[in-house]
Amino acid sequence: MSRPLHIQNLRVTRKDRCICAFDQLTVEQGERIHIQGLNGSGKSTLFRVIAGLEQDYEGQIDIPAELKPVGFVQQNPYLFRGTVLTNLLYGTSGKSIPHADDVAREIADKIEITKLLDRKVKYLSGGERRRVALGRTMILSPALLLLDEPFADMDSPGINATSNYLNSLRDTTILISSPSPLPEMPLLTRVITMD
Amino acid sequence: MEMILNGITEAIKLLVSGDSLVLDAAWRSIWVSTTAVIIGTILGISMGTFLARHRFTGRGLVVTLFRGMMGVPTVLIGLIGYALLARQGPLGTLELLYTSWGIVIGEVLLAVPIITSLTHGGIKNLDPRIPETALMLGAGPLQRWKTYLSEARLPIMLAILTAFARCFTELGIAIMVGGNLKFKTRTLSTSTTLETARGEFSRAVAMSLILLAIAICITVIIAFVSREDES
Repeated sequence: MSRPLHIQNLRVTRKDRCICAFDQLTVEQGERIHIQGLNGSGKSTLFRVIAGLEQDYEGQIDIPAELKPVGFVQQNPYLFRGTVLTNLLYGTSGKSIPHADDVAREIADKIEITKLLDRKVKYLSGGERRRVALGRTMILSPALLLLDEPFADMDSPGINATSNYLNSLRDTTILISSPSPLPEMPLLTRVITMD
Repeated sequence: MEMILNGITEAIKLLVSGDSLVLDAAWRSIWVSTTAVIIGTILGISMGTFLARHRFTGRGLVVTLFRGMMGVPTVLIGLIGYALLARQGPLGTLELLYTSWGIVIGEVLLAVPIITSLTHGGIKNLDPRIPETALMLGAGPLQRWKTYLSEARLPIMLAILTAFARCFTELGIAIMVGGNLKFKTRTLSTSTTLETARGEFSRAVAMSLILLAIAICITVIIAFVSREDES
């Protein structure tokens, strides 16, 4: 039996103001959870804490080895200078990922950005940038995927491609934050509301 | 005005005829400055990146010191270089005083604070998502360092070009550490000073024209690099 991700009594305070509070959260391996909440409810901070980008917090977080590596696509992802393909391959540098180029093209095909592969990232739209950031993270095969408002700025073909791709990820535990209901995701196990 | 025009005409003749004094000084200025800036770039980028990405006690003081050193007069650096390289100085046994390599050492002292400070500023002002993204994508220290340099390419290029411009046109270090020895340590700036004092105005103008041409080249390169980065 694999251990779950467990968060207890999480409090993140900045300048004497609590910006994220979560009493308890348990995420079983393979779950797909939608964390819904208004802007400023602490969704992004929660993801940053799980991703290890925030060290200054109170409470307990236990991420089992089975849920590592953690992949995190930020709300407004940064793409490095260069092309879409160089960004997709960024995380493979110095790692033994066999046929990384083929894997990148396969993921690009699934999220429908193949025609953008040679395009410089500065010419991408907001929705395209999000899909590239998702592909760049997925090439590393994360066991736990944190997606912070992944459908913002996306047109309907982009939303369809992304949600179809996410639905196809059978073994990945996924947490998705969004202020509004998500597009159709049949494998969604729970919706948690933050306020 | 007539003196200036005559000077320019004579200077062009000297340049076209390949005057050995002018060409020797020009060549020495180029290789001394280039060598100093290459060494300064290696040291300055390493220190600038380290200062921007690592926290330690006294970091602010070190950064302020480097910034302050950007404005130190070259005569003072020349004096320090002279004190270091003089026979009775700590580096006297190297016998580099009044040699081109002595000037290189002095100009490294000039270039390092410029490149360190401007690199530090460039990397410190990078988007905070860059280190986070690199970290989340599993980049090791070397890949992260390469990413910072790539993302801060423009300020770092400007730092290197600024350092080169200062080294190429400086006078104090070349005179005090180099000694302005004919065909040995004479550079364009020291030659210009000497030839003007000797009344050889056309030769001084010829030297200045080369200095001006290099300065214009650097300005054009800076403009080109900036435009490339923005487009």
